[in-house]
Amino acid sequence: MYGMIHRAIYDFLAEQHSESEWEGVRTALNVERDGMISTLVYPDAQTMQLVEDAAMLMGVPTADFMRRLGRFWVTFSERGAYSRILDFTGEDLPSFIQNLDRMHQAVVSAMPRADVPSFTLVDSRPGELVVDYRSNRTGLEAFVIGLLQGLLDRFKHYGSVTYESRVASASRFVIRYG
Amino acid sequence: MTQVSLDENNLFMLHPTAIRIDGAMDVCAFGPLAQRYAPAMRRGSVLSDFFEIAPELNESSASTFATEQTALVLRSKSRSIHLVGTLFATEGGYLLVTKPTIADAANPVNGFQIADFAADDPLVQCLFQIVLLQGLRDEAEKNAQDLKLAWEEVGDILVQLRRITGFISHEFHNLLSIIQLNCDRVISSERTSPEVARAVGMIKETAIRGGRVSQWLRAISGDADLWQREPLDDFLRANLSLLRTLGGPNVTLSARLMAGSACLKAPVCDLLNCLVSLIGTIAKGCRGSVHADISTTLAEATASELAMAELRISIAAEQWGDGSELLISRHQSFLGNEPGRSSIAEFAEAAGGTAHYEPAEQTRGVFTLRIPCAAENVGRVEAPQANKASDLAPHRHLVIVEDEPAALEALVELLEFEGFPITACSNAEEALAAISAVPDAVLITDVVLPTMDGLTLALEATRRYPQVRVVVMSGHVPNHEHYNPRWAFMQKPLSVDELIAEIARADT
Repeated sequence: MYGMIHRAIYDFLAEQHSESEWEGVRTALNVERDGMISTLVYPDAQTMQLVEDAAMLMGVPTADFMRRLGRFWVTFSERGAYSRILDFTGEDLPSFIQNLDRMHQAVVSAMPRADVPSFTLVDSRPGELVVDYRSNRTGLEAFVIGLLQGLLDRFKHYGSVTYESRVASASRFVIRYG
Repeated sequence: MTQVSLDENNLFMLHPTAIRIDGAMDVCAFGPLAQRYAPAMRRGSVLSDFFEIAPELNESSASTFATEQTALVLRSKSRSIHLVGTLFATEGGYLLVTKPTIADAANPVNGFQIADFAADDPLVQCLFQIVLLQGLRDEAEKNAQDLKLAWEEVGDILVQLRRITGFISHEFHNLLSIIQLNCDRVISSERTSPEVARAVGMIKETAIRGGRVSQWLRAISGDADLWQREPLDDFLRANLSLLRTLGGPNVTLSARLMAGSACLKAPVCDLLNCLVSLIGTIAKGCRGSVHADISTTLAEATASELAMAELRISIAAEQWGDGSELLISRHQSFLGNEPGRSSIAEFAEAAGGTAHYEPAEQTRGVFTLRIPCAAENVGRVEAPQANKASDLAPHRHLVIVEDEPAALEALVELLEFEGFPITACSNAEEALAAISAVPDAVLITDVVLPTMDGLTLALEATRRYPQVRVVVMSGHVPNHEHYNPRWAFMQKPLSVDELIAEIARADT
């Protein structure tokens, strides 16, 4: 995975710990922010190991950690140099999800080794969206739940995200919001 | 020609950004995207209330614009967006077909949302890519700044560490020198038994080994000894392939290295850093092929000036690229105002030399650095030949300056034993007074002394009394503006035999 996710993990962990705890966590996980270059590709196994180690250190199940990280991912992207691309991608939740694949196409143009996921807005009605998620990676459903929750936050909606089922090659999620 | 008739719905599905106007320039109908550009626009509105249009669109200019298909630029009065449009004559009016366009190259998405574009508009993908690349660039700039700060922080710590290491090694060296001199003193005494002499000999050997450790410490401190080890030409030769690799396929690099065994009086890794910076900048900042020629020469030392190595880097580029300006503006804090010049100038200045850049033609230029250096054997002691004082006649008076009483006492006793008349001094002022009484003395001085250092003392003594000969003794080869390479040099810990040989050399 690209180093940007590593940076997000680093910042997420830093925010979860007080300044006095953080030094110990950083040492335990052997992570340095400067050693994580956003545009460098790191082996998936290294990323997943970092996730598992961090979850263990925080005393939460890996899936829970992934969900929280997914939610943080949106905040992380909004903060940095990528805020403009988020602003451009959509001005409301349905249009944002609808345009995610177009944004990811641009990511692939700039980072040819990026293995990006695909999001399809299968159904959109007031207060409910059905989203199909496809990826060459497996086991990231919890991260996607968090990510969609992060988008609810971004567009100031209260709601819930649930994983519904596996449909053909896609994982289907339903977002209910007010 | 087949005519296709479209109803309003079909028309605005095909052109969601289009606006239909009548002959009085009032709005009759518009597509869904057109309303996004002017949300308050309604049927019957006056078009110019919502858009500034250039050239000016009015009842008299409209038919000409429609006939000539004039490109119109529309700026929304309610949103910060621009459109380009073309006017087509229709029954009872005109159809203005518009399309979003980028008005601000530095911030192309300024004011736009993705929903402002038709689903198949290729501009969307371009904008995504531009915005993403701008994001990557901003992040890279921030990383570079963070890296610079981190480097400065580490750099400060390293400087402190070097100073401390240098100080410790100097002190350690002095102590070992005192031990070694006193060992010699004990060993040479007629009253010393063979057992004691053997034991003291072992102590002396241990002190000599300790001296090597202190030399390593000195090297870690980044001080003078590092430059002595590798001649400049050898260093450049060894790193040419690295520089060629960095230059890439468009940069050819040649070298004419004529500085012989001269070694820079500066850390060569710093020189490599600025060469890397220079070659990298040239590679990115030029178009077409570039040739860089690195040449070195050696200017001989004079009595008043240290030897200087001259390093010239001649650049001949087919064409400077537009990228050079961008590159420089982005990395100004690292490179200075011209490619590579600042870092090279800083290096040369730090080494006590000079650097300048001379543009030859528009695409050619020469960087010239003059950096103090020393031939390989400067400061090295040759193996003594006739090294007994008894071989030297008549004995020159020695003025020995050493602020360590134990070292001074041992040195005086050992040299007196060899038959030299001696004045012992613990500081420069005493030494100058002693030399005034014996102006043809050999001045043997330590470098680090209270109030006036040994090199300044030697300079002052030779200025006042040109017959004075000088032997400088120190733990390391002096890398100081007052050091004259013509003076003899003794590296501590001292060997009395070698010192006597050096006195003989100074005497001649």
